[in-house]
Amino acid sequence: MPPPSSLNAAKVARRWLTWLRQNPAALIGGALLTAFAVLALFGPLLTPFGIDQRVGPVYGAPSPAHPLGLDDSGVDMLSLLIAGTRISMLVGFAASMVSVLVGGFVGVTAGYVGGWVDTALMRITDYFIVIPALPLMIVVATVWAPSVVHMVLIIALLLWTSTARLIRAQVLALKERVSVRRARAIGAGHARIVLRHIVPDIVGLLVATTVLAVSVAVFFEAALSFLGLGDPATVSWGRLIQIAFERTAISSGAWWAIIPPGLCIALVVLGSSLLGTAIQHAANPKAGIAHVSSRTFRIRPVPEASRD
Amino acid sequence: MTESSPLLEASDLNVWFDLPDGGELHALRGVDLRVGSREKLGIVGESGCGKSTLLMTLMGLLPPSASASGSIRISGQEVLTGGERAFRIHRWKDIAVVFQGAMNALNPVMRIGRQITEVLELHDVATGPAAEARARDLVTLVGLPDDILRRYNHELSGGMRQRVSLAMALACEPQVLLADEPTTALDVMVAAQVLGVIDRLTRELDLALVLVTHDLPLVTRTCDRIQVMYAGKVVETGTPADVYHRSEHPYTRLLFAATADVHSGREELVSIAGSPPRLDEPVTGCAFLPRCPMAREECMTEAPQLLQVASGHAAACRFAGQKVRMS
Amino acid sequence: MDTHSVLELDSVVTSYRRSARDRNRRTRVVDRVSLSLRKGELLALIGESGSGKSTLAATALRLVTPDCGRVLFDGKDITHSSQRQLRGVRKRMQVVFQDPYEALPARSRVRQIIEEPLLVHGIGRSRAQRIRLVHQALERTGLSPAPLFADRFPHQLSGGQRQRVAIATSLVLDPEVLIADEPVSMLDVSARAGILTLLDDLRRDGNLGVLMITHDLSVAAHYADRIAVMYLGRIVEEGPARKVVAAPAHPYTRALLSVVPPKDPLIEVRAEPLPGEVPSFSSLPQGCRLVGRCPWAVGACVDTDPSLEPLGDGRSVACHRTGQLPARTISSRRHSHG
Repeated sequence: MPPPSSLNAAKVARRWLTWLRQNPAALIGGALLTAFAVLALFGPLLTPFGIDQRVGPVYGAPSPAHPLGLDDSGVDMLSLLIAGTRISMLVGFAASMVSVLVGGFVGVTAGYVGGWVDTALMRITDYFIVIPALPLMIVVATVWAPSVVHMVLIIALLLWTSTARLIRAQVLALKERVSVRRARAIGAGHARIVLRHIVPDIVGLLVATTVLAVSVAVFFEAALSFLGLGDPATVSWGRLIQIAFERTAISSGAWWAIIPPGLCIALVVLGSSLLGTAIQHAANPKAGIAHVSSRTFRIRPVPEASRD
Repeated sequence: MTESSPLLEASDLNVWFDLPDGGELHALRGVDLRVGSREKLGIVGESGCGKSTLLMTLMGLLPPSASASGSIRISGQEVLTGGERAFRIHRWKDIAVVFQGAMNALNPVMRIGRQITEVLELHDVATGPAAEARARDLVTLVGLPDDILRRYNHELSGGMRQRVSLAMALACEPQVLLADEPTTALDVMVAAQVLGVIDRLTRELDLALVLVTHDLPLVTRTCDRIQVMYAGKVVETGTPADVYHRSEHPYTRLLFAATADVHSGREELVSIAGSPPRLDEPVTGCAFLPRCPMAREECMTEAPQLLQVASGHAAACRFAGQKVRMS
Repeated sequence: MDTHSVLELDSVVTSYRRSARDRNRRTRVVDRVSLSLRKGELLALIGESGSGKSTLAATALRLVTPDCGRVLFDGKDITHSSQRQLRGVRKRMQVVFQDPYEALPARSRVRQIIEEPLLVHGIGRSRAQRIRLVHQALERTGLSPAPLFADRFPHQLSGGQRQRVAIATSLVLDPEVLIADEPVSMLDVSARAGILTLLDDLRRDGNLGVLMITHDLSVAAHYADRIAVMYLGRIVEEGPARKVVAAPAHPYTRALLSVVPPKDPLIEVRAEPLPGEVPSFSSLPQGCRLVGRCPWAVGACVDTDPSLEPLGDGRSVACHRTGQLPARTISSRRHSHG
């Protein structure tokens, strides 16, 4: 995106809005994520019923009062869903932010310092990449007592690697830029060069990666909860699906106990993928001008006005 | 040098580019051009003057955001009004182009020979052994050894790659060759070699050559005629001697005065203050006015047409041909 | 050692390892180069790509450590100084790069860009004082009124203006040496003279020594006091600009001059480029590096690499056949009024 010509807040806002307008994918993704974020923030205030409150029969069918029916304890599904949003989104965002912070730090260090530090850090990264994520998470989750914090850490443990590689590649390229060479020639120290000349140019990439990581983090949270490794005291989408499976929702025909949480997961994954990819493209300077197109240039009639 | 019928002729070319926030950039504003067999026309100007856009238009290689009007005739056949379909008939077989970064556009994972035969096959010129034989002829034509056909792009130097681009451009025996800064990215000695090849081929193959560059001394040495462009228009046209010794346009004169010359001693070089006008807004009057030492009030109202000063020499300045003092 | 020089390179050799595996094979990109630059002098270093000129600049700036030889700044040997010790030198020796479009950080205003060196070196006791120095530097490079330009972002400036900002950034530290690496090759012709005249004025008024690296012999001819021509890591000819251009002694220089066309179409200078291309550093011949391309090579040229010898009139040439080359077909002026 073009650099600012003035830091007028209104102008900046307008530029972002224009970008959103031209990128429907980003708009949809952003809307989805915002909707779920709002739900997560204001969850407790929006639940029509309590999550421990029995309001009807086991697996009661959807009705006007309970649009998503009731679960195996007679609790309103919609309330459960909204409550579950909070944990799922929290874990999703927290895990992705931690992973990007760690990965970004590793990437910048490896890329900028180079030499044996780079080799060592990249070897460690490679080891983590090679290990299959879910089995490792399962092992760690089994050893550790289940809690939300642990969940965040476990997921972040395996997400940081792709960020590290991405950032390292970008830093390597930025290091060779003339503006960085110039800074060195002026005599700027490493800290200054990294903070002022390199980091500002990877912020876009970091934001994009964070958003993209949300999709993965939410999915892994659901997976872990589904396998029963999540915090049993909390409600999350994955846990809802797990409970539904365990308590024979399918054979009871209670689709409303399984599909809504699954749908929410899918929508968050979709939303963050759309928005994250759009930001990634925007952060990529000069992402290439495609001349290959089925459309061609247009012919105009000769202008009526005298030759200018 | 025959002046009988031009192989390439363009009249009143106008090109507009759509801008992302709705407006238009009027990149070419009524350009004429004419080149005949064995004739070398040099188009010279600084960045933003429209010279590369002109070449792209002549080849019909404009992006979808562009619209064009005017007339382009290749060997008498109108192509512009026919759009992409008409251009495709002529492209490469009658008119071909060598780009500035052409040497970087070669396929890195294909052998040179294969890339040339591919061009021949795509345009139904030859296939199989006949194509290979022609490829061998082409590389010999540009002064490269046979074994270049087996090499890959990265094994070649810049000069060699540019010659390969030249060979590929000449594959279908076009009559018109366009060259967009063909030597700018090369070292001066290699550039001289490549220009020598282009020069020789223009004579041997009776080509019409249009050479676009920002390098003034290069066109005065190489070309038979020069067109100087500024802000999307041709501001002066004539022979190198006309344009250097008898220039009737202040921009041309200033441009020469700003050009360094190792052979002419340590005269003071001039710089032209200011920048060319923005072409996304309409230009009233002469586009060079804000930077012109001869500017008068009359220059503000009417855009000057190309005025004939002598046979074959014209300049787009209302004072062309008159004795006016430069202030 | 030249006692008047502010920057001096003495038999400098800088090499790069060819590959990570090949630790013993090093290519000498700068091979025994000696140069000296005085204050108030503009020395042009001419070389094509692959001549080693950029590495030479990096060595002089001590961004790279030479293998042998010495780099002297104002008489002091800085060849093996650590980066920390060099901070003081960095204030006094500055560089301007080729690309004005990439050299300036896009997100910073001109004011911040020019202020950065002051902050790095702790110059200026208050922000107001630093801003004053920034404005002074802007005025010196012709970007006036300074406060207006200080407020702008790089993308709002033309190429020539950006290069002036880059020069101002170097000037704000009041350096004694300025190394300009192709300062105008990416600018439009109409903007070049402005930058070159600026460099010329600066070295005169500011008692600055300017080392200008360029491939453009014409630019050097107009502005340089002395010219040094580089080929494959060696200086092959050196001397006062006027003399080198009027009567080049080395075959490479001669070829370079013939290949540059004159502006005037009526002056005929036949292009006589050397055949072939510049060989790579890995296949250096034993003797003179021009062997294989030089039309006048003889046996001695194949055997021994000629060293740079003074000709007595301020020029030096590295050629075995100095004085034996046929006279140049110098431009014949044909007057024509037709």
